[in-house]
This record gives sequence, structure tokens and C-alpha cells, in this order.
Amino acid sequence: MTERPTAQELTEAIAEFLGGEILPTLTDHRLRFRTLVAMNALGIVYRELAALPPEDDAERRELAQRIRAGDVDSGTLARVKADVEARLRVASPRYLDRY
Amino acid sequence: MSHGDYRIGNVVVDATGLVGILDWEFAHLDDPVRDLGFGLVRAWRFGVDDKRLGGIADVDAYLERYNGITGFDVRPEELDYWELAGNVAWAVGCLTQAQRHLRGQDRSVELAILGRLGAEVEYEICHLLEKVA
Repeated sequence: MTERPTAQELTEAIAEFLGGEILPTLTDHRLRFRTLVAMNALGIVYRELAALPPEDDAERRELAQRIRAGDVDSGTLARVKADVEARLRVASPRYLDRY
Repeated sequence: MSHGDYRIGNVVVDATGLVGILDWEFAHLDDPVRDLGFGLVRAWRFGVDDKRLGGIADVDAYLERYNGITGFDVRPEELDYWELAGNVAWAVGCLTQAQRHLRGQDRSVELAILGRLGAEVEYEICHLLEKVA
């Protein structure tokens, strides 16, 4: 299993937010039109992501399995941290500046 | 007895002092030191990372006063333990919130994104483990 929500699931959540919560509040025609265009663009991203091959997370799964089995050594923490850091570089890169 | 979500965002004060403690829905029987350590979790420092106690102060005076009032002898290492445990609880909380979105119980970007932002808490857990390793 790759990171959840996946990029596709995130675009879906944003589209629901725009369509369900923002669009009904907009009375300005130009803003309504632009929001609908933005939602269409998001739909393109969603479908394009659907066509991508799934991420190969075999290495992460293997590390998790070894930790669950109690098979840890002095390098395990560093490997976990490197994995977390790689995910943070996508999810919240500026957070890393705080250390 | 433990409040279960004892952090700066749930403490209400005014110029005269303590007004109240909010959000008791996680209260349960537990080590009272759990509450004392939970407020140290980095996520509740709201960006003021060098002030371990909710971004407002260091812990020495806090611990001294707590021990003075309660007659307990809570050691700094116990706070370290509960700070780590508090981070683990919040990391799991992030995933649980994201699941509420993914399962359709409560669809929202705010809950969804916690599934990814939980990596911040995981990073803090690694950092705390490195300090004691």
C-alpha cells in the first residue's frame, strides 16, 4: 500500500470541497465559471493519476515486516527516519527546516 | 485519572488566571503523568519549537510546581516517556482521522490531509528515539 490518501484521493477530496462547499456560496458569475474550470482541471489530474502505475513500495513493506517480527538492529531507526523524511519532502517539506 | 487531551489548546486562561480546561471526552483511568507529558508534544507548540511546554515555556518550573502541589516526585525522564507516547498517540490519531474521510464517515480535506501530515509526527518520534538511543 502506498501513502494514503493517495494523490488521486486528495484530488477527489479537493474536488468535493470545491463543488460541495465553495461553489454553492459563489454568486459572482466570473468566479463561478473559474471555479468550474478549476474543477475540470482537477478532473484531468484525477484521471491522469488513475492511469499511472502504482508506486513500488516493496522496500517499505519489507522494513515494516521486519520491525513487526522484532528483527531490528542499530541501523533500523535510521532507515525508518530516511523513509519518513522522503515522505515529508512531499507532504510538508518546510517542516524539515525546524530540526 | 487522565484528561486524555491535556494540551495548551484546551486550557483557557484570562488575566486573572485559569478559567477552565476543555474537551474531557478522552478522560480515562491512567497514569496522571500522561497528561503532564502530553502537553509537550511538538505539534502543540504551534511553531514555537524551542519552548517544550506548549510553545510557551520550558518544563523545569512546570514540573517543580506540579510536584510541589501534588506531593508526587515525577522525574524528567517520565515526561520524556510520556512525550514520546503522546506523539505516538497523535500519529495514530492522524491516521484515524484520515480513515474517517477515506471510509466516507466524514468527508473533508482537513481530515484527509492528516493522513499525510502524520509524517511530521513520525519524524518527531524518530527524533525523540534518537535522543534516547
